[in-house]
Amino acid sequence: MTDSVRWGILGAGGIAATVGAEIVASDGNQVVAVGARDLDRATALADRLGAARSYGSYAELAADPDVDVVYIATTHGQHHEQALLCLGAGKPILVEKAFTLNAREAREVIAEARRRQLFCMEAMWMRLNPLIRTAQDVARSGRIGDVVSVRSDLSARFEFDPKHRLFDLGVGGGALLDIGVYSATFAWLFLGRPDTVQVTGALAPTGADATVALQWGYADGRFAQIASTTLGANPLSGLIAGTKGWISVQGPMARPASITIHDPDGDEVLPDPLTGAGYRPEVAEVARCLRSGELESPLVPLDETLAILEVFDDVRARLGVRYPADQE
Amino acid sequence: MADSIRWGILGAGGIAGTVGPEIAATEGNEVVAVGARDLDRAAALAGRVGAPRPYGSYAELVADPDVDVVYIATTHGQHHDHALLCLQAGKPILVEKAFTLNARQAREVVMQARRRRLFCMEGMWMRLNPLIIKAQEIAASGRIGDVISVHADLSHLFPYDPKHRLYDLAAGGGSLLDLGVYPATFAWLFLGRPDVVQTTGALAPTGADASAAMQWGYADGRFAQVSCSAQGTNPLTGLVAGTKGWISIGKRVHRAPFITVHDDVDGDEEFRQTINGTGFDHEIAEVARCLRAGELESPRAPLDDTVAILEVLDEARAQLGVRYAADAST
Repeated sequence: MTDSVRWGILGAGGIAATVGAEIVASDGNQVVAVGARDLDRATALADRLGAARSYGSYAELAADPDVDVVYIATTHGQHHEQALLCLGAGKPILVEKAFTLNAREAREVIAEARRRQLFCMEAMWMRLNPLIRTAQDVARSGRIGDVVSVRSDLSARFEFDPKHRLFDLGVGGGALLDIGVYSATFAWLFLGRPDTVQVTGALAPTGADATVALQWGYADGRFAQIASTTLGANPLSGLIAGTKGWISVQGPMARPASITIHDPDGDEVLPDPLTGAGYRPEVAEVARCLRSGELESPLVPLDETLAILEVFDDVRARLGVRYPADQE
Repeated sequence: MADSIRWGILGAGGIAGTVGPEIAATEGNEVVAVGARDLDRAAALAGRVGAPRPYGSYAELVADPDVDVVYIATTHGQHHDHALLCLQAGKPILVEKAFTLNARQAREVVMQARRRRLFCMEGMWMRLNPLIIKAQEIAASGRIGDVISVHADLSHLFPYDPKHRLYDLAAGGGSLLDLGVYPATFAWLFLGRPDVVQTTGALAPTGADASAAMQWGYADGRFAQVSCSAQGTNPLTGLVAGTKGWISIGKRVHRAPFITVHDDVDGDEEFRQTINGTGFDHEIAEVARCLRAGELESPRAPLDDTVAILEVLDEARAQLGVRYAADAST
């Protein structure tokens, strides 16, 4: 590896452009190549990011010997195939969330990464957010007592359009994988794997989940209420309630505007310290792991990525949301 | 009936001491009698609320011919027996929430009230809160679009004590009946009876629920997430989320001093109210209005809803494994 971590971006859509700009803005990181099915789109993004090379195929990108790590920025229905393509070419990968469509696909990708001793990480940037990490530290410290419950909600209005990725089962549509992965991961960070999962929700005419509401129970009595809907926005976000106080998240949980810690001494409000779009801690963590030779980030464990997808498989089965990939 | 509504209070505990002075302070209402097992306690409360007649038994209270309506202010394990006692004596009743321990008891009380054509109402004062009524009107108007979901919580730290009413199963202990009845009723006001009820929570060593979380599902995809806890407090209140906006309840869901209405067109609008005393005056005024108008039931607090919500709470308790001795009777 040269001094700078040299990124290749696989995909040239919205999230590729957003995170690409964050990579370029991060010290010690540069985007050197962009690959997309459409060479013009790859070139346009490469130009914006100062990347020297653009490719009209993913295979060419994965074969580029001067790419240290590939950021897979396509829709989640394609992640499994593209992750295996990159790993097969010997590339470490950062895979946009949702990591894959289901746990089976995730197991295959993770097994391949471990077999080949290549770095692999789900792009769950919320886990690297400094305010979320502070919230975890505070919850662990006992400052709010024992954790009693967690609430999390990430919802937004997406007008129904059968061709939009959110509603198209063919590309892994549905609220759960797209936005529910945040609210579920948030609860997981503070409570871990649930002992019981209760599910309700609503399906769009395409069969994708427009609304998903989860209630997680734990043998020791803790619980989480989790929701995500594409039908409308709301002011809820994240809350960790304890026996002596609470921690609340203001603004979107992946990049909070602030968190408030309420303990017996009163309220402490911690503002967002980040600049940019909020992805730089994630970029820095990938670079740190690559430089130190770690194959997995301790802050984004692959076993948890897989375990959350196992819970999701069960949730989707109960909602009746089925992807073609579930049949394999 | 005299010009003033003449109240009798059955019980002389905490809530009797809170609501009693509110009755005395509400125009057109007076407390004329207090009955308790302990005459000294009855006399002490009677003195505080200006009631001339304290009684050392409930039977004497309900036999008082100059009592127009009895407010039953004992713990919920006793409501069923006390309500029937009052109704048999021909007294209209306002029954503190939770109305009874379970739906079976509630059905018996409601049936008796209807058979005897006597006024009967659950003391679910949140339903009479003008801002909660306002929120219902706004939700019904379509201003926030179609309602998608309701989220509501009422939690309050009660340090564990097996003898405290909240933890004592014999007294109808548990967070659901004590606290959860508010967020459950709140969700019900905007969504009605759920098609599925999913429950989880924590049991105290006594077997009473220390925390309870309910998720309600509806065939059309709407949902509610309702919770309550005696293990700690939190800043959650009530939220009604729609396709074009939301309504959030300021501070605690059962005594909202303000609500915020957000719609995608006009942004945020806040409605505030000054709460008189502790806020029970609207409930008292509604009872007086019904008695004067000869209505046997308040349209704001329908008895069928009271029974139906207890049916949901019965199911939630069964899922949690919380069982009262009264559940065994048939």
